[in-house]
Amino acid sequence: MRLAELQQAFQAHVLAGDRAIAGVVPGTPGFATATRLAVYAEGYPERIVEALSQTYPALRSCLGEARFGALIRRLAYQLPSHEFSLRYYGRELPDLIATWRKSPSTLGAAELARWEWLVAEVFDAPDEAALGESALAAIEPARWPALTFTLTSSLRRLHLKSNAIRWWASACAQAPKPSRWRVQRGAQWIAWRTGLTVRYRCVGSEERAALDAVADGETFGTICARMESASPARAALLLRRWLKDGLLTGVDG
Amino acid sequence: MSSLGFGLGLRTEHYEAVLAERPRIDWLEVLTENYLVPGGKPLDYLHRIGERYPLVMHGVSLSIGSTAPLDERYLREVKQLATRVRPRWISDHLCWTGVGGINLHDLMPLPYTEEALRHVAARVRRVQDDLGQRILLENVSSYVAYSTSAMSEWEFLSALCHEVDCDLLLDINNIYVSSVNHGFDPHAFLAGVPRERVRQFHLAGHRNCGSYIIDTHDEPIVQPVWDLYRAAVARFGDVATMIERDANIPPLGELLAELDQARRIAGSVRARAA
Repeated sequence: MRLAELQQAFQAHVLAGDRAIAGVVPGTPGFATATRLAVYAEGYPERIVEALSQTYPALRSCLGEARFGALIRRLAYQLPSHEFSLRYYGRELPDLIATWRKSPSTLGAAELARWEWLVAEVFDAPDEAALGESALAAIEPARWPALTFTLTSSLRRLHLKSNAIRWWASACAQAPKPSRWRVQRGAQWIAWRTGLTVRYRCVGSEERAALDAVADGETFGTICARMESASPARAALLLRRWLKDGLLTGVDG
Repeated sequence: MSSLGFGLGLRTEHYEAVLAERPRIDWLEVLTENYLVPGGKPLDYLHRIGERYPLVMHGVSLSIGSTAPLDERYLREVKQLATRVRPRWISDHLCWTGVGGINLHDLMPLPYTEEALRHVAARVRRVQDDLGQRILLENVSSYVAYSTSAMSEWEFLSALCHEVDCDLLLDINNIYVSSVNHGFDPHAFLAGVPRERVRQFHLAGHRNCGSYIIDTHDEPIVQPVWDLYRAAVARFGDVATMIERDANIPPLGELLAELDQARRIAGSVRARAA
């Protein structure tokens, strides 16, 4: 058996139980061929479960170890890793959960998984210095309408229709779980990092639109004009909050 | 080249203790893949710890023996990390981790054939050219051997070193584990690899299942592995030694005590040789 064929056969054994590899793996009385191969075949899903428990700790806590393990094993066989690091494997988990029978708990678990993946991305996003609150003080008022801003590249946004954040927060705090999964009015959540700290909060429709405009490179003047309140004072308040939160990393214009 | 001395594998559980207590460790081995991220806490700790201790990078995803193409993105990121961390050396395993774009995230053993030797040698050359330095390859613990193998593992390692200018990381525990699982003499392994290429030793614990052993890295080092380490020091001399614990991580003090045991063994071998 050539090297390429051997590796394909061994991988097919691990992922699908194919037996061809057994033909070139001798056993011994104390360590039979099947037991030898089982070390690899059985170790594979367990290693994936262990790794994804690090990426999805709240989901694991909310689903329970057995259900979480079964879910990850399904992922491991259905969509094996193409990543060089297990840190980047498991992005498809929320979509896999979403194939469960439609229910508030399915929606909630899928959204919780999506949120945990997003938090993991924030956790190791590029390091950036946030714009200080004093950064805008020196800019002349006449220049303000033409200013554009850069948002931290760690910023992630997610629209959630369930109480997944409550489940996540309770799991993180090791506090009692919410009584049940709920479908509720949709809300936009953001997560970002300042220094080494991951932060998150809910944003209203006006702030969401303003964040969209900043991300699109719109000027401060345009953002003011587009806001529901069309108020420069309201836009300035948002800007001050973003500075305080460490959401902005640059200003131009 | 003088040895780095006695080190530990850096684990997240020990970040704070390493920074706060400045323990008596000569160097630290970091898991390459854990730091192939754009930024954040792991890299912050890595840089702060790297200011205090010499580091070496140890990877699990090079898949040097796979018949799939080398992962160019992985190589690029390893090189970028090495530029930032400036490790004393970079190591990975003599194994394959998947084919067809899939990564099983396991260290799968190779058949020890002429075909595999030529294949691995060519890839080691390519990787070393890319990284601009020699790499160290580690022997893995294995549970299967292939009837197609034409040589022993140590003959393969020796032939590889003859073919290409790479160095070796001998995992003493892995030699012991494989020797039990395949019924070979671990001392023949030590005697069979080229002395001048061995730059690092790993020591670790395992789980004994009676008629075979699983390499778990979750227990203290057992006496037969210490005995084999003594023989390795006698053959290879002053080689950088570290303890690799990956699960059931104990307080740092317990690992430091194990490291002292390694120091005592190496010291006694040196004293006897003097």
